[in-house]
Amino acid sequence: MAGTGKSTIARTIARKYHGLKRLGASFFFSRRGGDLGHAGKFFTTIAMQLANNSPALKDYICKAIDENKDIASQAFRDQWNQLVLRPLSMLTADSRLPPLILVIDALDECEGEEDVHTILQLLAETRGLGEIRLRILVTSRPETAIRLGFENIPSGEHENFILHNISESIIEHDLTVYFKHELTKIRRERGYPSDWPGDQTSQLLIQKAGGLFIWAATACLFIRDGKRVAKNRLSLILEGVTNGMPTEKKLDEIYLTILTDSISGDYNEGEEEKLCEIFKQIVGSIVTTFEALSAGALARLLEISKEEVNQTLHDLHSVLKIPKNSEESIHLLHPSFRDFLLNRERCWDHRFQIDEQKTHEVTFDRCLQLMRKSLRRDICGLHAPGTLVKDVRRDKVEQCLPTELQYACVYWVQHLQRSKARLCDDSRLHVFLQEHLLHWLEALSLLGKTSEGVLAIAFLESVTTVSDKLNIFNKSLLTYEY
Amino acid sequence: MSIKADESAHLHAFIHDAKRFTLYNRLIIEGAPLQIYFSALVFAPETSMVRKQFENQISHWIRRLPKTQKNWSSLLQTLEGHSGFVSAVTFSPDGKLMASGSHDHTVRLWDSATGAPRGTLKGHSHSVNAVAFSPNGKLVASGSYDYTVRLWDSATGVSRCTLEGHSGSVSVVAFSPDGKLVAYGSYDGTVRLWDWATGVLRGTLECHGANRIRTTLKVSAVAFSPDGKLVASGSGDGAVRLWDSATGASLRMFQVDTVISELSFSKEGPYLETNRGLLSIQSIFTGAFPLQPQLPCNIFVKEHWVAQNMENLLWLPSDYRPTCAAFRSNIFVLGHSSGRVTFMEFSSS
Repeated sequence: MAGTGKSTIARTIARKYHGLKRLGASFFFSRRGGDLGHAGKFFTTIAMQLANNSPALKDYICKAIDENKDIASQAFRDQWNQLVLRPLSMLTADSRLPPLILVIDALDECEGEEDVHTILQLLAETRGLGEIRLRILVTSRPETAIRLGFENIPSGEHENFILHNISESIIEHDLTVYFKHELTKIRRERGYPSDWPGDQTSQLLIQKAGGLFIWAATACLFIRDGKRVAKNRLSLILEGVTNGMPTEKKLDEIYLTILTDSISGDYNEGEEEKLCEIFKQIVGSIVTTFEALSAGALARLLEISKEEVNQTLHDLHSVLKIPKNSEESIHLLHPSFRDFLLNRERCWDHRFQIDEQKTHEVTFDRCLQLMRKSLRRDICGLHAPGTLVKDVRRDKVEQCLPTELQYACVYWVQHLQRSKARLCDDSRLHVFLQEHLLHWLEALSLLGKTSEGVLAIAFLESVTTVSDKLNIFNKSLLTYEY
Repeated sequence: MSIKADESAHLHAFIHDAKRFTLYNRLIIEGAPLQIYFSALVFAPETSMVRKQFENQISHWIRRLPKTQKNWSSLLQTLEGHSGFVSAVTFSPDGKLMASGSHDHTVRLWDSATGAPRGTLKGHSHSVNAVAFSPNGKLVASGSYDYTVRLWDSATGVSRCTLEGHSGSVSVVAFSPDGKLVAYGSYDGTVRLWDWATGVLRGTLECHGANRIRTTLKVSAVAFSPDGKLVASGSGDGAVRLWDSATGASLRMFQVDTVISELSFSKEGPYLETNRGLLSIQSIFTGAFPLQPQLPCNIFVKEHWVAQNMENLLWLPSDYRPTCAAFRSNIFVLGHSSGRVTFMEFSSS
């Protein structure tokens, strides 16, 4: 279930054990988080954190890397065995350490069922370590693959804790405490009388939250963000009957309230339509990009002015984490907001519905245009033909390939893949490849993403494959003979 | 997505060629991006659409381009087999077999004429770094990250014996000319001589001082002289050493400017044949000192690159890596194991 507070618990535990110097490592999976969305860098990240957090382990892990320089490209099992299990097993003789904690959040956001299985299986194998006790916290939605994965681990060796089975009275109590704390803060900030908002209102809020902490958090953020109109916002939230509604609907309701409020004002129909178009473009991109982008990068990618982006996002601070610095990336406060926007049944107001395929197509197009405009031979000015990637300074690459261009180079094919765009001869894609194929490969190499390029080209080949191969062959022969 | 044939035939053909181009050149694209406009284009086949499209990008200092294949070769298919990085390959003395060692922990044997697999040797618990055939071709020795050397019967694939209990991963192996000794070098900077029939360790040659950094310790090449009396070794810091195989005494050490990865004693004279050219070892016999290895002219092939002095100029794809090379003024000739000879000419500046 979304919004019961899994990630909050994971974060809290990670922070607490970090303070106690007992956090071995943490990994927070996130579907739209680039490398956080798959298992590719999971084991190496865990190993690096273990090395940084435990001086005793550091030597063993460094030694393992030293002896096996390409460990990062080897099988997950080898990575786990050599970078984590073996170093941990070597610790036994050294000293008795208190158990290290490993926190893994949102395993369900990790792409690829097989990889999820491998992760669970390998985690379970730490039980063979004997003396060194490693405690592992995994949070996840109960997806089938993950449930099955856990079923393969003997029940004595893991403990399930289902958040939405906690008794209502405990949750209600927690929500009461939370609302009281947050509303008091707002009351003080705005100088409201001490009886605001009153027991009855608080009770109503708790009922509306329906046990969802994300609802409570979103509501409080929305009210607080209203500043001078905080009271009105509270009323907006309390409007409408939600009793007896399924919990998910309650969450949808508050999201709609927030979105409606964000475009409320004295606009005529045409103006409102335009606002909604821009909303769909900007917020649509935020929820469909494969890696979180900053407001600045988004503006440059979509060719919308930065002011326009900022104004569109201005009233969305209760659903998006928007840093003050416009070059820092924007994150969703909760993944349920994305699910909501992309689902016509949940987001029934057509003004905010985001057509996922269409958004991908637009982004694909923008990526292509940006690359055509910016890519060129020797983009970093390296000159010497034999220059090795490893000798090119990172900051030079960052400077010559701004974030949005990096993004476009790595992800344009994935946007294309999820759109309905048609590929045909002399299309923009065709022209792009004829002009910039080599420049694009050069950029990917500088970014350390050559594999992504190979996969992208293989994908393009597969979708342009035609049934009558002989036919193409003859055609291309004809074409290239004159 | 459904796309009709007549809509994307040219696009498809171009993408297909782009895929061959990218896969074939993947290694160099990943390592040295500007070689996309040099090596990748220069060595692409004549009919490649990518080559035709971008031909005007080839630098003018390459005045005459090498004659390349007409079409993409079947290289993609012959790459398959190992599930990990291939770290070592060697031919049997009669040339009929080839052995490859891989990070997938196995050694594979291949028929060198057809490329057909002839067996997989399993037993190492870690990556295989080195493989060597015995002089009669009946045995294969393999050295691994798991600190062991194994000997195998090349006809049956049966493991004959294992040498265990060492302090470092094994990086190179070689048989003595009579096949009785195996010399193997390790990441810990030692070369050991092993009498495999009796299992007796005959000597340990320490290649390093006490305070060397680890990465430069690795023994990168080892070879016996034709009479078996000398052992030569190269290590990660560019040092080449000569030893007395009977006593283990170090006879000479000299430094070159590149890591020696290929090393053998010349049958013609007092030379070591290496990837850095011929190194004279005359002084071993005359007692002259200090020893000055004779370095070849300023253009040479160094670790897959054509280099001038210390600068890498042109990366050689696997098909173009030479088994021998010669230079006269600006003309440059590479001989290949396939029997092909490649000519190139550089402008004199």
